[in-house]
Amino acid sequence: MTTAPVSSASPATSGLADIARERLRRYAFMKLARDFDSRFEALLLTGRVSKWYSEVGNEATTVPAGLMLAPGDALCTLHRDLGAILAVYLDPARAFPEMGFGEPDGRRPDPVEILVRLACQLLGKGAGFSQGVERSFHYGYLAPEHGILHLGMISHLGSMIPVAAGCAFAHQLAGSGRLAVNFIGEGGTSTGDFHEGLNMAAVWKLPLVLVIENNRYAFSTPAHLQYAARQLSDRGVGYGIAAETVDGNDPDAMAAALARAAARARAGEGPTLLEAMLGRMRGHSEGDDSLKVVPAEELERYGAGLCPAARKRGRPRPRAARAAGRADRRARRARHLARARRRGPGPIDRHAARLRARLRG
Amino acid sequence: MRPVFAPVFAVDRAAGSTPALGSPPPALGPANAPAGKETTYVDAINQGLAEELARDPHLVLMGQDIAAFEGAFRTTRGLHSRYPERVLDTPIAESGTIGIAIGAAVLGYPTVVEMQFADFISCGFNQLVNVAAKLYYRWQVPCPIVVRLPSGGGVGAGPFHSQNDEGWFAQTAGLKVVCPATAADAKALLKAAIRDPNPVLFFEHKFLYRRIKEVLPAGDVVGVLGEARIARPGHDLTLVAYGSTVWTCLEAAEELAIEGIEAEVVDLRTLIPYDEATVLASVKKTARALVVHEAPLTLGFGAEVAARLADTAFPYLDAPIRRVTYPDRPVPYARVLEQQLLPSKDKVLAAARELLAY
Repeated sequence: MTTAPVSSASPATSGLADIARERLRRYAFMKLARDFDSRFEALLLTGRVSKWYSEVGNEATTVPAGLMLAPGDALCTLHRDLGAILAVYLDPARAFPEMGFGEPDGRRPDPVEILVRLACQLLGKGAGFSQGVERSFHYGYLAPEHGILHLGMISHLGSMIPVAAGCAFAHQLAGSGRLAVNFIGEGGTSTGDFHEGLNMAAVWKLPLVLVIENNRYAFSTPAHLQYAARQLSDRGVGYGIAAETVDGNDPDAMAAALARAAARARAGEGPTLLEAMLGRMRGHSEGDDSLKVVPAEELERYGAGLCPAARKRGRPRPRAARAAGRADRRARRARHLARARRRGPGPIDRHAARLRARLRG
Repeated sequence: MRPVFAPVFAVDRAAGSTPALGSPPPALGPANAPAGKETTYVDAINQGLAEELARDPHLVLMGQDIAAFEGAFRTTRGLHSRYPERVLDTPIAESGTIGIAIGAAVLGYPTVVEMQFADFISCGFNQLVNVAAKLYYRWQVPCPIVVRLPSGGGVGAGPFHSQNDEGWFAQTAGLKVVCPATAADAKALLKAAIRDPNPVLFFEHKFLYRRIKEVLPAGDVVGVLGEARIARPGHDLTLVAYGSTVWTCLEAAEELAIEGIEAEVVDLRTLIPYDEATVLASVKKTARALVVHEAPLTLGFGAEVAARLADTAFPYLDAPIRRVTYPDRPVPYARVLEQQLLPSKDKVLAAARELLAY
């Protein structure tokens, strides 16, 4: 089996300038993901989209995962992985021309066009990837000419793990050194497909990286009602595969863990299970009232220190200091929003309550 | 309207991967297709698999005990030894296996999955009806997988090794459902299923595996999914069947012929796509329709055939549309119990005579 070069250099072996550039690149994508997300949260409030699943708080996990992928690697996402999607679709040199990310890679589509297409997809418009038949992140974008193989989700959680393993199997058969990365929430780890997919990937030594985005709440169900393991990476032993738990809010740590997993996959050493510990900063979907299950102190903590976009550590400076300031302000706004939500029902909730009352009456 | 099925002529390796699997596989030995010799239904399937593996260097076979052991029914005899990297044993994980097949198929490796028994497909149900079936509609990406399903009763195998599950899938848009009755069809339709860019459920009737055989036509004969066959021409009554009950109907037609009644037997071959035209043409001619299948009565495929005929053949009918099917209950183990419940020649004859009396 030939081994393709691993796309994201390990910070330990790179120079300081490279580390700074890597961090800046991650930060640029995290910031873009959050801005994109905020716009859609606003669109939900005005009724322009019927549903929105926010990835706020997952960026430090998803962006390094997307950046880790080489051309032709398969990306299999859920509904909180916008950062990975942007990192795979967009050539940083063209998407952030003022930030000095080098020459355009010449392979990926025009960043503005692809962002418009993505926005159309999320808005259910004909110019979106699924021409309006699929909602939000349930689409697929298979564009080998751009080196992009993106498979979206179906609503049944866990189902895409075997499919992602199948993509990894195709790469293994082709002997291309390519891999597949797939995300799952901690809730989705309770499904049969998590077990069947991961076990088969382990038995067949498939180049699969499975990232658990553990935000400790599945809709409203807390982690202690979901699994009894001390940590989900402990399951790796049972499958005979490498597994580790990582601070999913630390982009440096995530990038390093992902680079280790990718190196194993490309070297034919089989799958890796990565458990990224995250915070639940939004509802299951926006406006579904499920953020109330997160205790207020816990939410405060995310805003103050855990939120990757507001963190001191790993923040590139001084070039992106202004952008960082904006992210801080956004994190504060998010905190205010969370507080506001906890104060009482918003206009949509009040409308829904009236509707329910009328239907009952 | 956005299409649900990928067009058959566009077997498109969606992701355009160009796999390098090393040297081409060795040519088939002469033992696989002996000229002029009769081939059983199960061996016809084996030949179809062998020829497709040789034709398409991307084709993969997966299933439980299909590799070195060569399958619970020996359907994959000689295949793993010839293609060790493409004929693979799986863990006992129907959902995981079908999911992997879907992922591989989307990235350019058409895959045939063997269920050890059709009954076990319930464990892979979600992957089929939600991932595979809807993939083309959602993404316009072909999903060339075939799930082979040894199905049906009459072999004393009890509730979990005898079911006829085709109805579960015929109702899901995006899946093709094939139920061959003859050895020649088993081979030709399997080849068509493998080359089809859509997910296909291929129901092989276990009772037929070694009980029927015929001389297969020479050469690369590929069937057409969606074309029924007139198994026996006639003008007095139409018997619509598929799978094992085609043979039940042929026996019944034989007996009716002694009485001077010519029954036409229509072998559907594929439930989805459904060849409505052939069934309608036959019933227009005979004015009487009896649908026979081994799957349960309620919402079995016969219900659909009857409903379509009620819709389109109403002006031509001289009698109500009847069904002879398995009753709405599980399959018992003891042969004496099971035989009472299976559709038999006598049940078909009784229903046919009732219709002919109108």
